[in-house]
Amino acid sequence: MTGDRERLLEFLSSITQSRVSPTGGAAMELDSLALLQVVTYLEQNYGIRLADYDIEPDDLRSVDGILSLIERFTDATSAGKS
Amino acid sequence: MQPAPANPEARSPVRLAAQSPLGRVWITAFAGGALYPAFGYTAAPIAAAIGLASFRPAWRRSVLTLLAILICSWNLAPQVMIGVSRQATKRLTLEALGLAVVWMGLLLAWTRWSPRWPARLARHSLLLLHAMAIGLIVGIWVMHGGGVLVSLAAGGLSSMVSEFLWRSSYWIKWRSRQPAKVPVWSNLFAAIPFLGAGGVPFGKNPAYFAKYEALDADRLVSSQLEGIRLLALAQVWRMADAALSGWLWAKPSWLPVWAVPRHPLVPTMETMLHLPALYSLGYRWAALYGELFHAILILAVFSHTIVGIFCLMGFQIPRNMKSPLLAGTILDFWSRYYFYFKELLMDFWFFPVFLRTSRLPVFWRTMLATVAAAFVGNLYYHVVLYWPTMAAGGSAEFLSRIEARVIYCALLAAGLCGSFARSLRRSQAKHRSAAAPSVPRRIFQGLVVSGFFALLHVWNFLGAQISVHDRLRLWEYLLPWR
Repeated sequence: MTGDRERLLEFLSSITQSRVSPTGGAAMELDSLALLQVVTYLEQNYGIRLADYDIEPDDLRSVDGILSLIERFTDATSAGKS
Repeated sequence: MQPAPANPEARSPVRLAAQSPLGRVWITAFAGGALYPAFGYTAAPIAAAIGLASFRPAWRRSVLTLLAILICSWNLAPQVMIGVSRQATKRLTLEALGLAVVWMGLLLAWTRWSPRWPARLARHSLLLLHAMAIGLIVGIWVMHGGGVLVSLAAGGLSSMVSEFLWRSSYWIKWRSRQPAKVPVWSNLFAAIPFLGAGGVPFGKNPAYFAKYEALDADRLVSSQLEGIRLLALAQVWRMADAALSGWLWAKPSWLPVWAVPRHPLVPTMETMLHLPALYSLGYRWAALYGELFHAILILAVFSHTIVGIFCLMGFQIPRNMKSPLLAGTILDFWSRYYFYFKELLMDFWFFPVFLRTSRLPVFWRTMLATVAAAFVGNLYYHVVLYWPTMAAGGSAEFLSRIEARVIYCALLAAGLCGSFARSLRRSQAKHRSAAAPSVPRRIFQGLVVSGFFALLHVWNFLGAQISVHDRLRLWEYLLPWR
């Protein structure tokens, strides 16, 4: 999960062009375009099909929210495999 | 309430003063005075609620719910009163209040029992809500023709549908994701239309409010200082708008007599739409920009007031308007101009369409989602919003508004698609220039973007007897070679 967090922070910093706090429970200032980039990042890097989850745009506006989504997906995938 | 953390900022004299009992009384008094121009005597209960929330933050949500019920009941009456005798007014007010109570009852019953619904029905509960709302507004339309009183009641009731619909939608979305035992009463304020207009919920739903809620003394002070700043800014923009209207259109304002021209400097939008040939090209464009600035100032006053109240209550929610004239792109302007309406379209149209089209390339997904939000969603929202005119028998006016709105939404969607496409191309470019644009370039970008929205405003203007032909003719007269 640490690797996921680091990669996510690097990605968020690149799209917002500012440093994103690692303890990211608070909402980030993500505009519509940045939000789309977060969705495509999750789809392309993790294969998460977000339409299958009960997701609101606000869930993707905090580092913790995105990480919890990745965790949910990873758990569901590993449960499916075992 | 927890004690304030010991950081240097928290110990600043202003913050310490704001936390003292006298400071809290001053905040309450300031709020009452600053809200009076917008709310009249309704400012009194709002200020009282702010006072209670300052002294007893634990009561904040319950106080807000009580305030919401009070103001909602207060505001329902004028919607059904116009032109009706006092006796009939009482009856209609009661009818409107009755419907509001029934609506809230249904909403609460819905959220209580929906977890027991079959999965397929529960999954489409939003669709069901909107189908019911459409059924209701069609029913109201059928009521038209049953006499003056019935028609007026229909008009009043239908305006409530638009006020309740989007708040109820956010409420249902929120409840579907919460454990069943989440307290309803202390969150109910988010579902009652008491601050805001036309149905756009400032603050979306209880979960959104919770994210911005001040849970300690330090954050409460930050939130309240932001609230004071916003209310003060609202007064500044109110005066700026009065000065602009006095100077451009010779309307009465606080400006001294010598500063106000005897005759309007530029025509109003209504005059231009009817008689565009009377004015030269420069005057037409000046008037167009003047109208846009006027619209921005009015919305800024309104938005800062509503968000300011929430900040004073301890919810430091994001601003609705954030310097739109500084936007460098159409997309940016739209985000800065009316944040909560943009969010509504994002939440109910853009995001669902974008997620459900994951097999398409990002470019086409974005275009589809933009058209769904800016054209389809925007149009649907306004059909519901303008419905009272239809229900009150003004079908010609309703159709004229909708005709203009169809073109407005199509143009907005086209502008946003273009802006999105440009931004996507830039974000995908490997060697992006991180340097900020130069000042002349920023000014040029600002003029182009505000020019687009000034032209768009021709289709947003609501005036009596303005046809699509009038609006198209004005556009033609704005061309330099005309």
